[in-house]
Amino acid sequence: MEPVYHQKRAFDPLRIWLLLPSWVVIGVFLLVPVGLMLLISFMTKEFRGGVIWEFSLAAYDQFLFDRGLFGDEPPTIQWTYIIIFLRSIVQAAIATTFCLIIGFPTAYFIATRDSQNRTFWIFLVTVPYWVNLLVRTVSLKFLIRDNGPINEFLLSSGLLSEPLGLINTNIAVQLGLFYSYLPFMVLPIYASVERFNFTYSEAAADLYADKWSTLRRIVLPNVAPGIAAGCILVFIPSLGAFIAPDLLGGAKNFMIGSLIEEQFKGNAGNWPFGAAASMILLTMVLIALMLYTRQQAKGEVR
Amino acid sequence: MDHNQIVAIEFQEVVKKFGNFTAIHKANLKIHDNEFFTLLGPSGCGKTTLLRMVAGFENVSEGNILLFGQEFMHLPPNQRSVNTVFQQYALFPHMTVFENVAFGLKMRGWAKDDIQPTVWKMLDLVRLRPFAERKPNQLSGGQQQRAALVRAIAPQPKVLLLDEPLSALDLKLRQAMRLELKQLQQETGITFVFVTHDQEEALAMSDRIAVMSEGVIQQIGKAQEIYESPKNEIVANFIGETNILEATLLELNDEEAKYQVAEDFIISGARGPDLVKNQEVKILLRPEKIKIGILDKRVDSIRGTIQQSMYLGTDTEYQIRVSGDKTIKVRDQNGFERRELLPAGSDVNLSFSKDSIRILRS
Repeated sequence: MEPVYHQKRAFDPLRIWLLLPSWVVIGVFLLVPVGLMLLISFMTKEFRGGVIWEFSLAAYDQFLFDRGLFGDEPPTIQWTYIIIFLRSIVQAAIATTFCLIIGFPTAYFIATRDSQNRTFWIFLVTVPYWVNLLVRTVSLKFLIRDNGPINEFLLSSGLLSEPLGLINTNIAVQLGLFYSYLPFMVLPIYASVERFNFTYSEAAADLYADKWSTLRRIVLPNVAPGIAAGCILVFIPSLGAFIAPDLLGGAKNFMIGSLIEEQFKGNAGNWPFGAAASMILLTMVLIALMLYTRQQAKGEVR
Repeated sequence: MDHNQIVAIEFQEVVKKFGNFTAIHKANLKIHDNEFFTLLGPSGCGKTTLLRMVAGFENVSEGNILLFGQEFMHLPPNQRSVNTVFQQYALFPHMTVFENVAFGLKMRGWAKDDIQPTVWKMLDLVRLRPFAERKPNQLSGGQQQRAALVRAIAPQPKVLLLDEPLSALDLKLRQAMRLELKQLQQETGITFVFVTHDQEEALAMSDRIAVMSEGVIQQIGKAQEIYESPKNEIVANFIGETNILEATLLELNDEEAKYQVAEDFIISGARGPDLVKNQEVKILLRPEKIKIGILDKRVDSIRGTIQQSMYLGTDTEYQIRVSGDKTIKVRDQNGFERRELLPAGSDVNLSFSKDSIRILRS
């Protein structure tokens, strides 16, 4: 008998019904909102929020070009938003780096415990995430503000004569992002280190590699997919984050997430502009991801 | 044993404990330079633990191990000039065969110009030159095995440790690799310490064998010594097949003794060591040492009845009942003389030379 694995299955109503929920979820919660954003980004703004359904490129124009207060001057490059954009990338990159520096050893530590202890450590890593992100960020603000417990302690113990002045700085934002997304770095790295066969480490040590060489030449190349996944999972939400920048960064440290958020909040917003900024962010992220997957695919062919 | 030989590895009263479990009980063992030495035993007998202590992956709980007379237990694995061939090879999956073999040399700080020719020489040694640029998962089991072997040999270790390296291969390949391993050992002159649970492998390749069981080294000797004169029942049972008969020493003179197995079943043979009359003993008799013949009442020998016969190609195995409830296994070679298979129920004569029995005290 011929094997039937590749035979095309006849139309099966059950299959359709079973797949329907996921189609609906993907459709309603992913494609529709993104499509709507794309649509709105090409519409005309209504001054009290919302849109007038008239095609316009004004939103994208506003993002890229400065045409003066009344819009009648010759266009020059509008740096404001590009700078916000670049700052967001830098902030997200720094937060990702910190997450990696702290997350990798953490994940490695957990993955090398015995299996009962691993569950316990993973539990500890995830516990803070049972609390809402907003609440956690506010708590962080209370902790690091000038008259918060950290500064109070440092001042009263005489270690400092002035408060650290962390609040409303880039460092505070990075701290917030780092704190928000650390588990997204730890968990995928943990998963890949856990799968790593430590006989390779033994073999490396047997072949005269010291601990550092073993880590660099044997462990890291084998857990690289986990590291890449962790970096993506931290970098992307950090890029669009607005809670941490809003609460910890103040007005000077505006990030793209906050910019977008403002356009949809209250009556002062500009929906098409917010939508356009979102689409630009989305496009950038997609390009970065595509480059990454292509790189991965190349690596596998080799 | 030649006492002038250089000792490569010496275990002195080595004890290894994992928590409350004692994996190795006071092991004493000298492995000579340039020797193919095998640690043989069933799984869980502690043979791999001994190896891992030499490699540096396990500490010794008590006692000491010396490498060419030198202390080395304080050194981490990467500073010990012993290399390991791992059971599952542990070839680095992200490196090519060439890079794998070059790794140890690179880590030892060899110059690039020296690494290249050495690696090629190594690859030639096991016919892997055409596969140098392949990743381990693009190699067959036998090729992976050979790559792992030369990766461990390339840095010219003083001792090569092999942890059941053939167990993942199929039978034909395993047999071919035995020859290759033995040749490689002779060509390189490196001391090989080989761990296996396969007695045939051990007998075929080793200069000397240590039989281990439950963390105790039971016997150390050449293949023939271990097979022909096992020191105890454990060794006798583990290496090859053997008939073990409980008997009482009936009478003895200076030369030989008579042992009574059952009322009408008396074996005469060499007198065992320090035995007295009426002592309980165990008689070990290998199945292939027994000659089987069609019953001839005129010959004075042991009589038995065939209960079962199994044709195995090169030989035939018979279960033969002698004297009541005693059953003896006999292996009859299908050799030069062509023989008819003796059917169950046939009455037969069994004979064996007096030298082929071995007496153990109960």
